[in-house]
Amino acid sequence: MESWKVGAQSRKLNLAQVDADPIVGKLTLKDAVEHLKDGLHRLKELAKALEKPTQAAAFGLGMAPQWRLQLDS
Amino acid sequence: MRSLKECRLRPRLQRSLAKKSSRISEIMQAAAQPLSQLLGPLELDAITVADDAGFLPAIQQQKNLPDFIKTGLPQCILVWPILESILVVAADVRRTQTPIRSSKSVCAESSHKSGIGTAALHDAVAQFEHASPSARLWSAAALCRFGVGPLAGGIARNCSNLTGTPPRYLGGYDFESITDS
Repeated sequence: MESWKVGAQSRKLNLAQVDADPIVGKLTLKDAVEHLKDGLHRLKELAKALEKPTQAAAFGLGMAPQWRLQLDS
Repeated sequence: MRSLKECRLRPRLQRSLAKKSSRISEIMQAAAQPLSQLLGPLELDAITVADDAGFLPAIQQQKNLPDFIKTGLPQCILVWPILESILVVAADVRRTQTPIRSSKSVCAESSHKSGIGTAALHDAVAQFEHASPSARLWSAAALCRFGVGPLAGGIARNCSNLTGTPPRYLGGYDFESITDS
């Protein structure tokens, strides 16, 4: 259970899911927000990395799971 | 009929992400440029309305929303924390058969959750203790005590436009008959 504050009120978040993705399932809401903030601040840098991938990255060799923003339109 | 150039993919709130154009013609043109030349830093919106000071002003600027939502939504957001705390007090009084005047601890807890002063909350419910056995009346009376009775009435009417029936938490109470003390 993750503690969260909505306005002045404290809440407990139960985000457990049996069939959750192994990476997403371990992520707290706080971590998710931090990931998104960081990614949105570095959009230009991240886009450059996508435009010029290294050979290893192009084939996904030796890489840890990667985060990507799924834009909706 | 609007031309294709005037069409947008979908309405957007006029801030942060919305500053990026969604016009089809501009997007088609932009597709020819590398993403790294188009993108810049963006700020993540607050994940809840309660923590997002810019949400309601942004809603007010939306052209595709009916007026009763534009005016009713801010009222709902303002009134709900107050109403919620009153209902907690009322439910406890009903459960324990305790006079409202004795429910200081519940008032204190509710007050902490809603951000309303304990004394003000206790005073509000106690004042109407003998007015009616109805928790709904206490709630309505307390809303008026905090000066949001007219707003609550507006919400009842506006929400009934949405669902066909008054919202359950307002119970269809006639707020017009309540006057601020």
